[in-house]
Amino acid sequence: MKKHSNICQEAVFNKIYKEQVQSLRNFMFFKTKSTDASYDLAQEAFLKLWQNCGKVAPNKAKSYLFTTANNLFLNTVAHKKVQFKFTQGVKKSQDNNSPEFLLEEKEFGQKLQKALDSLTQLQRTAFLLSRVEGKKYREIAAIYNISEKAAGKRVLDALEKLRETIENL
Amino acid sequence: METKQALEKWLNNEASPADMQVLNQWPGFDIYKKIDTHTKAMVLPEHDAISGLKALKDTFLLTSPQQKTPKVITMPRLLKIAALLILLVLSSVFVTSLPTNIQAPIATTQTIELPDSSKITLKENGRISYKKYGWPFTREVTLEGEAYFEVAKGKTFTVVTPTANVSVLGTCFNVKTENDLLIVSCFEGLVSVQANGINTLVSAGDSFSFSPMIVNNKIYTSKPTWIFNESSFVDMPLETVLMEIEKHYKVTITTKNIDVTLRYTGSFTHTNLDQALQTVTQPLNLSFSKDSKNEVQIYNLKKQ
Repeated sequence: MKKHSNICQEAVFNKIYKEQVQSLRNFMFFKTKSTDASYDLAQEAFLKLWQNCGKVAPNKAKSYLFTTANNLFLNTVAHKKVQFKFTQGVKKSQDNNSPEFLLEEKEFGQKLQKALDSLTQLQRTAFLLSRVEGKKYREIAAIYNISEKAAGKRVLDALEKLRETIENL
Repeated sequence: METKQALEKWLNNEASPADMQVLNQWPGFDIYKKIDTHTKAMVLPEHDAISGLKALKDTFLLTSPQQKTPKVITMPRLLKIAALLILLVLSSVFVTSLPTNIQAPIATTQTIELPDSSKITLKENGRISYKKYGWPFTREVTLEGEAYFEVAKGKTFTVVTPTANVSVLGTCFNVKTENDLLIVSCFEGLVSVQANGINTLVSAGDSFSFSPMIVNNKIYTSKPTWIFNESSFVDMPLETVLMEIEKHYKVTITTKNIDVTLRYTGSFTHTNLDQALQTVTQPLNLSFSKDSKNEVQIYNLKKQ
């Protein structure tokens, strides 16, 4: 009989952890906006994977982790209102680092934070998965178990709403 | 329309240079691009995989110590099936090898129905043993004492006695064993008796005594008489007949001036001692007397 690689084997588990933990952490971070909460949720999802190592095929581990993390997130109640942080001094192709420009950038960053807060959790996460993680609609669709088209619409709607909110601030 | 498609493609990170050209010419794209650039500058929590993994493994130990070593020795599926089959076969062999023992109580006959609806009528004190669960494979009965067999048709049916094997295919026959004595009477069909290395065929209506030498007698009843609570004898010494009476009625018989080698043919009932004694003594012109202590004396009237 052929031996399949199994998540219960420590080496296999370690490999999956190293490959997936950062993107899972980001996913939870987009949802929770919290460094600590996202850490706990990502770790907890991996703990669940280990406990069910015999039931999950290695090629299904990624979707298992994202689904589990998402469910774990839904189970947690009452999140602290936190805001995302952005790196100071966004680099632009043109060499325009005048104080006016920097101030404008800072203001824009603040507006963006508020705009992101105005999004629903689902819109925000989908948008950030697309922009920050560079995920395709297909991958976002797989995480939420929705159609590719619905995933694309979710990202586009989020972008539209962000633009509206920023313009109205 | 074109710009919307290009925007969607750009959002999906798959815009072509042509799409970018369309977008860059569109004034509304500026703000989208700005949003995108700023969003991408988001500070993400850096997940240290090594310390995270270590922390996780400490958690395994804390939350579920037994989960750490779920070492289950698994067999290949084929081996599992094989093991199960072997277990089944062994247990069935064990079950089929268990013998069923039946002993008829004193002074009553007992009828035993075998799994294939063959019937055994066991005479008092007779003892049989057979394998109930192995019956479909070997029809074999071990007999001590006397029993009448009505065998359903089928495989060879064998009666094992201390001195011989009696085998048939389907018939009615009687087997009597007593010490070295063996009498096989066949009422229907054909019976084969394997005794002392000699194979004897007993056909319907024949009765063979096998010890010490083979004697053939005729039988005239359709069933052995003891089934009807009678003992019957064909040309047997009187001594044997009297011993039989002693056995049935638990009495002691003494004889006086009698030739006990006289031959007797006939039967006696098992239900009435007086009647039994009468049927045996009268044809031989003998008399008997009984006393209260279950002692019977048989004597010759004429000689006295």
